[in-house]
Amino acid sequence: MNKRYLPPRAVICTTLLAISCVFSLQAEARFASLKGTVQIYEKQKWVNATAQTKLPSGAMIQTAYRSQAVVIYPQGGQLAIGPNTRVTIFDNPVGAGTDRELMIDHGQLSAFVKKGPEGARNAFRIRSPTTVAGVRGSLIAGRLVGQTLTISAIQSAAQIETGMQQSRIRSAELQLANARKNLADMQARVKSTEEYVKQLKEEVKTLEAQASPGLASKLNRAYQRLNLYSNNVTIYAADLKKTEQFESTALAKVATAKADLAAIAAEEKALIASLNKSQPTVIPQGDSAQATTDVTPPSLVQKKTTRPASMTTVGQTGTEQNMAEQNDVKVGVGNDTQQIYNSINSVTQPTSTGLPTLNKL
Amino acid sequence: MKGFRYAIVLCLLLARSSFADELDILRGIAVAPEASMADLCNLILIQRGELDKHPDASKRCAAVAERKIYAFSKDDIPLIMPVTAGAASKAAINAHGLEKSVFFALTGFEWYAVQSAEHLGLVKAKTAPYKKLSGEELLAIFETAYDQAEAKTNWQKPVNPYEPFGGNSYDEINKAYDKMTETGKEPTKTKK
Repeated sequence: MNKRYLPPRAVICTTLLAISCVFSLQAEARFASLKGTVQIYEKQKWVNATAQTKLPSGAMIQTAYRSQAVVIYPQGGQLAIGPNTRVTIFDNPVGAGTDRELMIDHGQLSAFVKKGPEGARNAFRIRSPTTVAGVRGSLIAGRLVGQTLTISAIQSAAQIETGMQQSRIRSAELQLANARKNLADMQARVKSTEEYVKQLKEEVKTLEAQASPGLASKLNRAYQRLNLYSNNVTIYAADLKKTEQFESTALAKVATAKADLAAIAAEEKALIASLNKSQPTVIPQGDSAQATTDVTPPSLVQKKTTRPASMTTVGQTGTEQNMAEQNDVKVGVGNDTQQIYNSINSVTQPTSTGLPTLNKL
Repeated sequence: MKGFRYAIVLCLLLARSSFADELDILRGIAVAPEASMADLCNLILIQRGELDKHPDASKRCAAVAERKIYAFSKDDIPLIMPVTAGAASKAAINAHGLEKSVFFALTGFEWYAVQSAEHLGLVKAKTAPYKKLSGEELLAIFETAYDQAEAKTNWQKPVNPYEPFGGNSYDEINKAYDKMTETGKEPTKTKK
């Protein structure tokens, strides 16, 4: 009996068709896992995310403390968002590869960037207000605390540079994301000010009920703040309307920009050219770099992380600290005996520069 | 049994709403032009996961005082007290058990708290203790303190950066993705 087998080419075609069907069904990123509270900014308000929530390019995600989320992209690749983090994700397919970017406002994240097929690149960039870091087909981790962005190149080398060094191309999508961020911030400001005024009114009522002469000055201050913040609510509400207009303008711009893909491609080419021109700092595999206004190279970050600032002995003078650094006498956290020795040493050794020590006391 | 189930659902809903409150409060603090001591108390309790235990600003600040993080007197009205760099430094160091200078440990003065905070990198050098903080500045101080406390706790503990993605190495996850493209199924997560 002759069995009819499908020829290999047909099998490949069928598989590719099935894959394209799967991707066309899930063209947008989505959550692979959610822990705690994760919210996304949708239709001008924050809503709790679920596993079914779709994440189009430009989606803003925020996690609470003790919460985390993993985002899975349709063309491969994942993004793990840590606790107390706010990011905006962008996903633009470029040819056979992917071109992903995210704007981090605060918090920590790591991204698994799948190796691209031959001839295609899978690029991933992390953008803070002042810095851009990027990697291709690798695993990268970023943490923005205050104004310091720390980038760790875990799987392969990454690149980092300050925003000033490159010509910052403000694509329509980025403008929209910024407009949305401003709108969300403005809404939060109005909401929190209204809440504050409400609480203040209750406080004033309590103070008036007490009618104590000792509390008169505090009551006056409360009245002043109540007036000030009540006025602020009106001002903020007017600002909110303006921000809403900015957002709708930015939205219209995105629609125009999407119609003109060639212009976006040209912008990207220019960005790549500027990236190459500015020669960003390279982070070797397994190393980290930091950036606030300037980039701190990996060697200095390693020095800081192996001997954290919090563990240098308080009470040491600058000369003592320099000497300690030069002679390599500091230790890591965990060595209790050495810590005790250091703390005793720092307060008993006489110094020449005049900071107080136990001997002098 | 049914009542028990309803109770569980109600508890979950309440927990979820309190988390949502947390995020609203955090977003409110982030955009405040001038932070108040009530914001500071909220932030401390959010970081400790105890916000929903205390209903209003005065009780939250009382809880903060009770934990010896920052001392409030009975007449203090946290809502109308602006947060200064000194108060934020003192509260951040106490709340996260960060290293104190000898003089701060002995006196508890805010001036010395700022010195310690400068040393720890929580505030910029030469910050005046009486400087009023914006919400964003307050958040930055507490996030840095939280980060340092976590770094101390997890010091030299092995970390698998691939864990959130369900693997132990880059190649393992990459292979799982390759399998997905062949079968059209998602990769299954391997537990450690």
